[in-house]
Amino acid sequence: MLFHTPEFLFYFLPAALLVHRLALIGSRNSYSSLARLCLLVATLVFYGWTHTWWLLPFAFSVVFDFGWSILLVRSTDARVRRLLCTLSVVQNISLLGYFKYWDAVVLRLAMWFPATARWLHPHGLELPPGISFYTFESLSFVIDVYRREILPPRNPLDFFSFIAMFPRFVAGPIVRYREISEQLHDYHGMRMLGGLTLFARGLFLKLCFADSFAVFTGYVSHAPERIGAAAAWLGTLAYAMQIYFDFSGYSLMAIGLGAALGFDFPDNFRRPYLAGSLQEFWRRWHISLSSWLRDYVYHSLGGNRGSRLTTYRNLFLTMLLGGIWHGAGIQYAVWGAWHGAFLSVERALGWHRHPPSIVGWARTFLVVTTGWVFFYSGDVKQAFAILQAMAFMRPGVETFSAGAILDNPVTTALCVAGVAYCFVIEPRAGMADQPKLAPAFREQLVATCLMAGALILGLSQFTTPFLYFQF
Amino acid sequence: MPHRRLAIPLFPCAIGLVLLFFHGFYTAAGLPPPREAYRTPFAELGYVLRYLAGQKPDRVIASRRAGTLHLFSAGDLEMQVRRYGAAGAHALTAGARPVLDTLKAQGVTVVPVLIPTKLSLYREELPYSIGKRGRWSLPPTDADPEDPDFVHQLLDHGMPEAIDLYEPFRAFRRAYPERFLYPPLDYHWTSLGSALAVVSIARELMDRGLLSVEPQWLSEGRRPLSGSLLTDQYPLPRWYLALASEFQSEEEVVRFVTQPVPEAEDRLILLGTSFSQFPPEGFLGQLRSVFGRPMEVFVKPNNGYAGGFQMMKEAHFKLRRGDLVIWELPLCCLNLGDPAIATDFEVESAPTIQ
Repeated sequence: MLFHTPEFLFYFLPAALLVHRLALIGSRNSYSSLARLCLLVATLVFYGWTHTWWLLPFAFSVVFDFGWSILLVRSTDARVRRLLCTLSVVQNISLLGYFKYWDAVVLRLAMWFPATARWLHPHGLELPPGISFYTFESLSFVIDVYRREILPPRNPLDFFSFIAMFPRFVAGPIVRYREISEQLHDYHGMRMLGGLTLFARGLFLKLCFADSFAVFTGYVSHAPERIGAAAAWLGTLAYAMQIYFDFSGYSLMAIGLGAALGFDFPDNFRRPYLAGSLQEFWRRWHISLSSWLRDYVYHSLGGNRGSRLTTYRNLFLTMLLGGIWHGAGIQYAVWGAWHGAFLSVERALGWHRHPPSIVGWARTFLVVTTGWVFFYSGDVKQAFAILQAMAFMRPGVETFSAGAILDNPVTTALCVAGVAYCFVIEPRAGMADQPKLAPAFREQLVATCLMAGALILGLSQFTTPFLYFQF
Repeated sequence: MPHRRLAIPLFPCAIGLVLLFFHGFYTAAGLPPPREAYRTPFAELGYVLRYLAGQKPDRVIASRRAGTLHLFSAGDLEMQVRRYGAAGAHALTAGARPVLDTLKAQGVTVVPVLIPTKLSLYREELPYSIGKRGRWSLPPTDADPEDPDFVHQLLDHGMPEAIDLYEPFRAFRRAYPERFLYPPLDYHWTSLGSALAVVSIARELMDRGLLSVEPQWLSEGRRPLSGSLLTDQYPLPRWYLALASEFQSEEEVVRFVTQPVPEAEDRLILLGTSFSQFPPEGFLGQLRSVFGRPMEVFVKPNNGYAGGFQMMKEAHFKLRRGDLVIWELPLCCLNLGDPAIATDFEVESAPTIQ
């Protein structure tokens, strides 16, 4: 179920909020078991709505991880604890690997070594949405228990309701158990007004901005071998804006829905395209993933505690892993390596310590935007074809046409408004990415207009699925 | 005592109104609410606003249906077979020829009919002229009114039995420039356009000895364009189509003297597309009047080529010796899909007449 579908907006969401509110009757400052159960059931309905079998890998992951955490607490032997933690890592990586990478690896092997096709077969199953997110959350829970930073809850329902929160279930933000467990025990009630206000903003960003940019992105991604420089740049810049509004819109919706249910989720985006260095960019973009990678991969590899070269290696490997996390295609690994390499270069040259400047901003924006080419291309060959066009190394097979812009005044105006929002309005207005307890009348008016805009202008064009659902 | 600001529940009221409107709208209309977002009343209002803001209708359609706008596309109103060339005609023929020959050998005549595109006839009458945008925005492919290689290859070599409507349509356009064969806001033909097509087909079949009676033309004045014709092209809601002046155009209505249908007459079978969807003064109704044969109709929009033949494979339907099949081939959005398989068609061995 997607956030912008009628079945979610007009049926599921009102019903889920109403039932959740009813389940909270009589429980002050505590999150009742009934409410936890209600949240869990709502998530199962939300997630299993399209394919019921998607619930199976989820159940497998959380039941086993809860079991590992209980065994970890009971065990005092360091070797046994390490073994249990390793088993959890293997289990989660295997689950992710099976659904996300198995088919791609098998097909590639069959291409290189045809003999393998006889005994290795692709499973052909669709990737269950959100599997990358909930396995990471579940894995971080077990690692935190192993590190003795948290204790697993006595009531498994606490753990299940931490993982199974439908607002952030399929595309994050990736939350740690310790951030939610405190809220489960010191619950302050639903904040529907503030939460839904934020949800309306996210819905507008997704439907009106992201989907309008998608119109121009599609042009490049559908015929990368035929485009010239102008079209290649137009498509790539459009994609940069599309993915930002798509994912930040989704994150705002998730944070807003979390608040409507009474939970605070951390920020996931902080105006990333204004970053003056790549390091700063990664502190502003998909914050929950980059901090996860920092805490569980980069630090585990040694972080910046070793020599300079070791630090560069750790940075590179962390970003490479981050790239691979996004998908099985080689282009994702190249994207991760691209970022890892530039982060290392930046650190080696000391650019990350420079005060904010237009040069730093332009350099960062160029690196990030160029990196998106690998991200949205179907494969590496396509990516290089687009990069070639962007570098003016291939005269445009088709000349650039203003037709789509002139014939689409509404879509074009929304794109212009999106750029203005990203670079001017959002930074200057200092818009909060966290819901307010009691939004003022002006904020409610804005939210009402945004919701109307999303429903009327957003739904009257093709709505693309959330980009991060495929990861 | 801390002052507590009074919260005005504007936003909750707005949400309540949205929910009330959505559920009330469909409850009152007695219709199931749509599962697709683009079919909600909010989206329909969005189409109207986009249209009023100057978004070209075909772009509205494209943004609803496909999501991707090809920068060089001229859109639905000017759809045509492009870049198919002789190779495309060869592919179409290769798929259809075995079926046509097999059926002919069994006494079933299939007559393909090439339906011209509006762009090839009314280029300068289109709502916006794509030819005036300047060389930077006009790709050469859109400058071609049609794909002559495709048409010539098809008529001269691949399907010589096909009926070409280009020439009679062009001749009519030259003789009567003010009488429209296509409505101003649609690429299907008007009642007059389909009448001209029926007359052209009938004359050609008379020459081949497949029809004996000359069509007798009854002109019945003018009428507003049908809503179904417009909604096929515009995603605008019916209430707006009924209100907006630019959609209030008229068309000439043509009927023919209806020929009696003898009981045991051979059948006329129409493998049609959206061009056959508008009875009784449209192509289908006019064919029925002129041919005086029992009719079986298989209409599928978007020119499902393989689909058209496959529809005849319904369990209850069998071709008979003596059947005449008219197969529409609109030269827009032509589907060169899977070829039909000749052996799939069972022709009843015992003819009903002869």
